[in-house]
Amino acid sequence: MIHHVRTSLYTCGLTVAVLLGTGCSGDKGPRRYHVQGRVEFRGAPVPTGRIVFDPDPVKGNRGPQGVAIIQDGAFDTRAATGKGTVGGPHIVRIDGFDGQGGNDDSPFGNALFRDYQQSVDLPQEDTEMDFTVQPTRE
Amino acid sequence: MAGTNVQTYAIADPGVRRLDEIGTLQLPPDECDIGITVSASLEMTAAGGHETFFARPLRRPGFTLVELLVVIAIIGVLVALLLPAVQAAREAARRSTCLNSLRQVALAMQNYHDVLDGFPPGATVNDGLSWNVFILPYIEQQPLFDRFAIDDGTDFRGANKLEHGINRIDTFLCPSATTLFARHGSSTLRGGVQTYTSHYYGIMGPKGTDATGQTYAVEDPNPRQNGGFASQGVLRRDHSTNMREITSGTTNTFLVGEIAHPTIFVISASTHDADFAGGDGSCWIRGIGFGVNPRAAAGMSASKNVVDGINLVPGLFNDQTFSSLHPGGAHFARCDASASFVSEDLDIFTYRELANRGEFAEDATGARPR
Repeated sequence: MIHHVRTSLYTCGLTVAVLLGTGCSGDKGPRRYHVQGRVEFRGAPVPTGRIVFDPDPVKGNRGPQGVAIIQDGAFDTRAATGKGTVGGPHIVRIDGFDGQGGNDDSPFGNALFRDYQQSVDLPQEDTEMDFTVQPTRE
Repeated sequence: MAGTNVQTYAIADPGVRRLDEIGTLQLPPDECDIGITVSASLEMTAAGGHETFFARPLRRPGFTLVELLVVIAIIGVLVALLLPAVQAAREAARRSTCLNSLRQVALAMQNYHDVLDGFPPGATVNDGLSWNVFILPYIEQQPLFDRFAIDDGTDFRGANKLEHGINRIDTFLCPSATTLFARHGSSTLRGGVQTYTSHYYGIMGPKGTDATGQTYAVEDPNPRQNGGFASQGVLRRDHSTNMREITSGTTNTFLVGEIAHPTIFVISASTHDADFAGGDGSCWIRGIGFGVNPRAAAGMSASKNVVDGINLVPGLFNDQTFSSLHPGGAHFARCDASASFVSEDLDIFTYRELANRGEFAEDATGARPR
């Protein structure tokens, strides 16, 4: 009797494991690679902002963008608000804000710099990369 | 007479279910001896008296505790497997409702175009109102439309404007979104009365670079750091676009999309609460907010630039990303009044081209939007 029950329990467990294993792998779209690092502006970490990785079509790279929120100078595309990149040549766009005095239309606060662009070549694997934003004449 | 019946019952069928019947019978006070007989049989039954009544012991058919537990466990597992499927079915229904609303909006736009020879402007600076207001007569809301102050030179918070935002227009709301209300202070009425938001926003046009590295045209780039106004789309600032201007074809050009991003995307350095999301945060009647100096309009609510991909965490106000809580993408209506689901994994340059009413910018590979 006990043996019978144990067998049926094992069977149940196995079935659940198989169903969970096969049914829930919903990762679609291109393979994505994560990027993390730090962003500095005038020698200080950027308080808040956003970093976006556009594939560089001129260098033959296409696909969806990667993104991460910058918080206290650090960013990581693994965060819940982030998305990994497809790897390869990218143009990085960074917006930096002071995080002070935000309002309805400018939630990050006052802009320190905006649309800073830099060309980078990302590897086809998770990587670390730091950025130093060069102040433009303004 | 009744007493006799009771006795027969009690002896011939000592089953538990008969106990109630016996209990409810009222016995005449002068036949108390029968009453004693009945209670005696009750006691015997309650004491598990099968063995007493029948010669051989009878094993009652039933389940052991272990068997019951196994059955319950199996049912539990089945329910656990089924629940996600049920949730998915509910989400599918909401998606269907959302797609239908978007199609209604696109059809209203077509009717507007038929009557006034052009799609409505995304928003007009002279009254700050959105296209949502302009298409009201075409979604059975003529009486509400008649109350609005159109072209009066005040912004969207002027008389007879924002106050009408307390009207809930279901056609502008996605059932999957987590809030129906505008969270901005500027879209809240005096006394803290909240107005409804819209989850559907016009496509102002593409922004950034196309697949050849060329930059799309943007008017007033980044006034007050809001992101400027793309001018190569359909629902633009102060401009009614005629279909003949849509040279890439109405089927290949986005008209309206959905913005209902998850709560974690609401970045707020301001004091306004950031604990709920849905829409861009403003009321459905808001087209453009006025800048203080210059008076030129700055924050565009009714239509958005397409610079970042679907479901990306949003940046500047006019660049807010189209997004939804439907898994994996968002809904878009196109200029031919069709509506469909678009994946968030779409190539960013194809996506920007779909926001462009002009000719396709072909890259070296000749890739074109489908």
